[in-house]
Amino acid sequence: MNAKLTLTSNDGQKFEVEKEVALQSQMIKGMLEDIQSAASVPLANVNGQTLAKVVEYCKFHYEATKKGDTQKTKAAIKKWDKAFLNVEQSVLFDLILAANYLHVESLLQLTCQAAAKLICNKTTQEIRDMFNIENDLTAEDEAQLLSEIEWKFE
Amino acid sequence: MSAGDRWRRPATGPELRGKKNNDSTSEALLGLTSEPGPGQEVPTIVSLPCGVLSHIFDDLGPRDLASASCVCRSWRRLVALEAAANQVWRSFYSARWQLSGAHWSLRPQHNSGNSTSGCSSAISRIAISASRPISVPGGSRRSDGGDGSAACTSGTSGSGSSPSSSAFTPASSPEMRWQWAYGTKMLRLRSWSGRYSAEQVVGHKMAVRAVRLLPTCDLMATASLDRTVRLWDLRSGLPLGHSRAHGGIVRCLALDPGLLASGSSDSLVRVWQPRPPPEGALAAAGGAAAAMPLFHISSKPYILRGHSGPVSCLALGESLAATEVCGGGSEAYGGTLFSGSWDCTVRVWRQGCDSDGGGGSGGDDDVGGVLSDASGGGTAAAAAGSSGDERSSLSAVAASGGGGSGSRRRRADEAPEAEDGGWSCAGVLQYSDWVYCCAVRGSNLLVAAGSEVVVTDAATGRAVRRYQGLHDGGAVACLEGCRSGRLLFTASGDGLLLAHDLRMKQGSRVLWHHNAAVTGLAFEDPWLASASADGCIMLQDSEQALAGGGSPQRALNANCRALHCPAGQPALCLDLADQWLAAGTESGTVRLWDFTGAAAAAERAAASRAARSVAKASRAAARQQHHHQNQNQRTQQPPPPPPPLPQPQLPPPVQRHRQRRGRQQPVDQPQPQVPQAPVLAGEAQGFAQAVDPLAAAWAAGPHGPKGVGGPWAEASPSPAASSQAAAGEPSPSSSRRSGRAGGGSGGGSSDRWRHGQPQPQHPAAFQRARGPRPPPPMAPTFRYVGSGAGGSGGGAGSGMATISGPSSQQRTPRPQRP
Repeated sequence: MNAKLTLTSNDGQKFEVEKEVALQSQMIKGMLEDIQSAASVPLANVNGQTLAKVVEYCKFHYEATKKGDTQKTKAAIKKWDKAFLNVEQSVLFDLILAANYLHVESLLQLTCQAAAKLICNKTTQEIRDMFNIENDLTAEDEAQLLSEIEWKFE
Repeated sequence: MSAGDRWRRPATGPELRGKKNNDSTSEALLGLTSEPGPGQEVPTIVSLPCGVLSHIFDDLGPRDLASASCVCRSWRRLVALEAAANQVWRSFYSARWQLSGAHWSLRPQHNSGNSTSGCSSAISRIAISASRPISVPGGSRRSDGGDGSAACTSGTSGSGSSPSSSAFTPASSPEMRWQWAYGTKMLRLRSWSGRYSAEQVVGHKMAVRAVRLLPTCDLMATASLDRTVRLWDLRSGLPLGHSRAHGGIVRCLALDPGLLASGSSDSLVRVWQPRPPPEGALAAAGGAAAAMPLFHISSKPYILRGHSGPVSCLALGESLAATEVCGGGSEAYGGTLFSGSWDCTVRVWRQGCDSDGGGGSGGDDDVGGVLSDASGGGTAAAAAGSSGDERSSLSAVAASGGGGSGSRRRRADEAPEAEDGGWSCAGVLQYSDWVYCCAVRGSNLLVAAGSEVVVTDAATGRAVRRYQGLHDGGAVACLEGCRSGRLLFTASGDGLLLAHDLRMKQGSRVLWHHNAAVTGLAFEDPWLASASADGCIMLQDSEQALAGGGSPQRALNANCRALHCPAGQPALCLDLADQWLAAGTESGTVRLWDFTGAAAAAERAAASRAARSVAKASRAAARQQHHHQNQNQRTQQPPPPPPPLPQPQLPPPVQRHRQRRGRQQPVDQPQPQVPQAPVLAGEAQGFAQAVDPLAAAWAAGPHGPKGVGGPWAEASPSPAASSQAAAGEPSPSSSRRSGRAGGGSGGGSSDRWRHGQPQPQHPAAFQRARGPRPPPPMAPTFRYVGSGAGGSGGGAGSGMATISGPSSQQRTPRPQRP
C-alpha cells in the first residue's frame, strides 16, 4: 500500500509522495480512479514552490491523523497550521488556488480562513489598499453603497 | 460558520462555478478573470475565482462583509447580490431578529393600516419556505435553500446586467434583499436610544396581563384580567375590537401575522386566524380590502383543549411564523404553538397534522406510562419515548397523555373542524413545577418552571441545559433569550435581571437590579426591556451592558435608559418590537412608547448642526471682513460712517459687562472701531466713546488686532452656536430643547447636544444674542416634552428643568473667558 506517486509541478519540479498522502487531494484521487496504474501525476496549474507547501501540509496531516484523534494531536495540528500559514500574501493566495485546484478541502478551508482574517476589521479603503483592488464603482454607486452600510458606523 | 454552510455545500459549489462560466464575459469586464495560468503574475485576492472568494467571505461576519461589499463591483455582486449571499444575509438577520419583522420594508405605505391584503401580499412576496415540522434553523435553511436560490437567481439575473443601478433599489425588486434589510434594521435599532413619544390606550376594565405588538401589520393585542382580548391599531391607537369574554382571566398572548392566540385561566388556548378575504373584496380594490382587519377578534375562536391548569404562557415557533401563513386562509398555519401552564406542562400544538398525529391511536396506556415515568423524574422528557424518531414519540405521547382522554373523545364527537380548526396537540413536555414563562428563541424553547429554567431543544423536546436556583430559589417570573442561542435573560421577584451565557463561557451576570419585582421582559437584539413593579421600565443595550464586564451598570445613558409608568400603574407585561414599546399596566391602560420619531429627530438635529456650522463659518468670514475694514479705517482719517446695524442699542447690562471685561484686558489698541460703535455714537457720544475702545480691545484680544478671528476660533463652537440659536432660526434651538427634554436619560441626538452644550461665553456673541428678534417659535417636536415621560416620571421632570436652561443662561451671562 506504500506505493509512491510522483507529482510534477508546472515548472518541472518533482515530488515523490506516498499515495495515501496524495489521496488527500480529491482531484488526484479522482484521477487515480481513472488511471489505476499512474505513477506520475503532472499538475499543470501549480508551481513548484506552492506544490512543496501543499505536499508539506498533506504529509503532516497524514502523519497526524495516523497518530489518532486525541486532544494533544489536535493542539499540535493547530499549532503547526498556524506556523504553516505564516507566509506572505502572494504565497497564501497561491496556496488557496492550489488547494482549490487540487481540491484539498481542509487546506482550502484553512487558507480561506486566513484570508478572511486579513479582511477582518478593516475599512473598505483599507481592504482596497491591502489587496491593490481598483475601485471601479462610480461615485454615485459608492455613495449609495456607503449609505447602505451606514449602520456599520456607530 | 453556520452562515457559510450553504456555500460550502458541494451542491452549491458547481452552481457558483457554473454561474461564473455563464457570466464569464461580464466577469472579465469586472476584473474577475479566470484562474491565472502557470507562471503568471503574483496572485492577489482579485485573481481568485468567485467560488474561492465566497469561501473566504464565508468566514466573515456582517460587519466585515459590509465593508467588503463596497470594495469593488465584483465583490459587491458576490457579497450582496448573489443568491447565496442573500441567503447568508438572511441567516444573519434571522440569527438576531424575527424574519417576519423585516416585512416593514415591503409593506405598502399607502394602506398601512391593518390591511389583510397588504400584509399577506408582502409576506407571500418573500420567498421563504420551510419544512413542516418544528423549526430547526439549519434544517429549514437547507430546505429553503433550493427554491430561495432559484428565486434569487431570477432576481439577480435581471439585475445582473447593471448590478450597480437597479439592484440598489430594494423596493422595486420583488425579492427581499437581506443585506439591505439587515442594514435597515441596524439603523432602526438606533431609535431605541433616541427620542420617543408616549401614549396610552384605554379600554380594558382591569389590569392588562399581556401585550403583544405586530408592527408589520400595525397591530397590538392586549389581554386582561377582565377576560377579554383586545386588538388595537398600533399607529393610531384606536381599538379594532375585542373578543368575547373568556372563561377566566387571560394571562398570555401570542401574535403573528398568521395567528393570534390567547391562553386563559380556564385552561383553554384560543386561536384566531386570519380569514381569507372574499374573492370579490380582493378583486374590488386594495382600498376596500384594507378596511378589513386581519383578525376577526369578535368571532368565535378555535379552542385548544388539553391543559388541566391555567395557561400561563404562549410561544410561537418563530422561523416558521414567517412562512406561508397569510397565503391562502385555507392552508394550515405552518408554525408551532407552545403553551405553558400551571399544570406543569408545555404543550406543543400544530395545525393540520392530524394524519400523523395521535388521533388514531388515542388512549394507549403503555405510552402513557412512559410519560408518567418521565414526569416523575421531573424533567422535560416527553421526547424520551422509546423510539428514536422524536416526532413519532411526541405524537404518541400526545395521543396518550393528552391530559384527559375525555376531552379528546368529546372533541371527536363534536365536529373537530368547528372547534379546534385542525389544531392538535403534538406533544407534551413535563416539568417539575408550574410553568411561568416560555419562549422560543432560535432552535431553543426556553421554559421557566418554578425556580428552574430549562433550555429545551424545540425540535426534539430534549432538555439541553438546566439552570437551578438562579434567583435565590425564587420562581423565575420571566425570561427572554437571544435568537442565536447565546444568551438567556431571566428576571424574578427579587428584582434582579440576570444574563446567562448558554455556551457556558461566562458565568451569570447581573444586568440590572430593579427596586421591585420584575414583571416583564422583552428583547429585540440587542435591546432588552424590563419592567418592574415600581413602575420603572429599563431599556438597555445588552451588548453594551455585557461588554462592560461583570459589574452591573449604574449610570443611565443612551444605552441604558429608564422609562416610567405613572405612580400606581406599574407595568405587568411588556413587549418590544421594531420601534414600539408597549406595557400593560395594573390600571388597565396600556402605555405605548413610540420611537418612530427618533430617526427623524436625529436627522433634524444633524441638519441643524450642519446649518449652524455653515452659519458659523459665514459669520466668521464676515467678522474677518469687518476687521479688515476696521484696520483700513484706522489708517484713513477721519473714518467714514459705517452702515447702520440691525441692533440700534445695546442693553445696559451687556455694556457694563463689556466694560468690566475690557478693563481686565491689556488695552494696547485704543483706537479700533467695532461695527456697533457708530450707532451708539449717534445717540450718546460720550458713553460710546467710553465703551468702544474697550470693546474693541476685547475683540482684538490679547493677541492684538489679528486675533479677532482668534478668540472666535478658540471659543468655538459655543458662542456661534448660542448666538445662532437665539438668532431666530427655529430648527436648531427647538431641536436642542426637545433633544434635551426627550427622555430622562437622553438619546443619541440629545447626548451630542449635551457635550456641545452652548454656553454664552463671548460677550460679543452674547450681545448679538440679545438682539430684538423674538424668541424662536416652539417647534412641533416640543410636544415630546409634554407626552415625553408621562407626567410624574423622572424623565419628564428633568426634561422640563432643562428646557428653561438655555434661555435663562442667555439672560444671565456668566463671564467665562475662553
